Amino acid sequence: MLGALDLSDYRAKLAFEILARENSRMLTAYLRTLVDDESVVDDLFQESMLVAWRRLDECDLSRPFGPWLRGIAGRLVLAHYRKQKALPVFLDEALLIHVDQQFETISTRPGDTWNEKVLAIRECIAALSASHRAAIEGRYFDELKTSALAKRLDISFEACKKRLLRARGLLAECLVRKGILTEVGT
Amino acid sequence: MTGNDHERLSDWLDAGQSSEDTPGEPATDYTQLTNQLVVHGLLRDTARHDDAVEKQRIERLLIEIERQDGEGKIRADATVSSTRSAARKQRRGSKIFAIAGSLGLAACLLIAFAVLRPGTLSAAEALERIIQSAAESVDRAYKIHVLEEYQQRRKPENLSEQQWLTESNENVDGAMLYIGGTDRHVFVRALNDGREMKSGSDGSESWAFRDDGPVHISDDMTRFRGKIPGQQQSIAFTDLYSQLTLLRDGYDVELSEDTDRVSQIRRLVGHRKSREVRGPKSIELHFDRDDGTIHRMILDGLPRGHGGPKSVELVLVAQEPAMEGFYSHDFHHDNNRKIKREGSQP
Repeated sequence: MLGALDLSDYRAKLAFEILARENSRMLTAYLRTLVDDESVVDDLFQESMLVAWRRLDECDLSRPFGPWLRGIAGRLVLAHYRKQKALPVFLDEALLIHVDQQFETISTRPGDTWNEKVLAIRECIAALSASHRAAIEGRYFDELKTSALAKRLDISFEACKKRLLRARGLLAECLVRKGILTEVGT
Repeated sequence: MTGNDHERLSDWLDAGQSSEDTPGEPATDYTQLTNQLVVHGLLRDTARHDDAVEKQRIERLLIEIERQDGEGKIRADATVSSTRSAARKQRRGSKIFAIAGSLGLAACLLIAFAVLRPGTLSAAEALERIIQSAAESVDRAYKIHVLEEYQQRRKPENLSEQQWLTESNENVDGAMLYIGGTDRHVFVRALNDGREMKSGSDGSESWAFRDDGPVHISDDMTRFRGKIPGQQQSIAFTDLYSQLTLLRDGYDVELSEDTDRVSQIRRLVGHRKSREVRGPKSIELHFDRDDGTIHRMILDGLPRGHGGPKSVELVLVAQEPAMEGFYSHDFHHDNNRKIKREGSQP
């Protein structure tokens, strides 16, 4: 029966490869939500997928694969911060559940790709006021640190932090209106 | 969101400060906190997404799965009587049958392809397949990443201070190498002062120039390999075909175990037999098992020469026909550039 076992191995890996490809963009976005350092994002991506592969027997295949994969990734993120002794006070299991709900909402949006599902964020950015848009574009698309962004915008560091918070809040409201995000329970 | 949540989140997202050391209560308003985080993640992802990087991530994952599974199988073979392991494998197999079924026709076609694929490759056969592929007149573009630099070294005694500075001036991290068979290539890299250096050959002459200097041309196809300042380390990159043929005799080559046929990509590693052999200490090739195309190549322990990295990675980023004349120097500069043909009168 060696041949049969080998064949199921091929199928297992092919199927996992398809699942990995289908979920890779979502997983990357999820990790980028929780981790700033891109090299850590990369490491945690590999680790999450490898753990998923090794524990595939434990996956309930009657349910979507994405939440299970995010569950693994979330635990690895917490472990990473604990190891670094840098776990933010607010980052706990409860928050991860809420973040997961939002990602699940996005995953069930119409669209074949992750890009199509989150396309509305571009429209929401375009709809921001000029000052909020400048803050978002500088921080995320020009990858400026907040101090450099504050200089560019000619405002104080603290004012810049507040403007970014406000701009993200406005984007969240826009994404809720467009059905990309939902109101989560407190 | 409370003022406290507000402050902590803002410090974390925008000021790079961790709040673990700061005593505090857990979050109270998860809605705002979640929305801020998710929007932050979506923005970062939108801004940073790169299809090529995403593909590489998956490729690395599949290679790692193959590697770990290969190691697992070796361990399992040592305990053949372990029916538990086999049962677990079977359970995984049957479970995955269910996934594969639900994933439909595409998966079935892939499976059929995997099963009908030609049999086991030997290292020598794999190497010949790779060399044959490199010799084809197919245009391929590789991006070069420096994985490790040598520690700061003393200036070689035979070099003047000026030569030493000049020869350390080339930066191959992020360089692009375009290859069109055995005798055509274009190699584009930055200099540490911000200028760009290009060299290449079109099969009949070789050439090199900086973006603000004259074009040097020679009939000697090896003229600009190792003699132009800073190019010593570039031999292995630009003359890929020769580098590969060196593997035949100068290196001990090993092919990763053929136990895993899922990924199209296989791994071949060559270790230099002796110091007499010119080239890096080890060469790792990730290649297409069917057509021999190199998708990733790691050169480790490069000759120190007159500067340059210890270890580099070449990643295939494109495989499509180059524009006509691409390998000639005049494709890459305007008509006013001064030409210096070696061997001709000034």
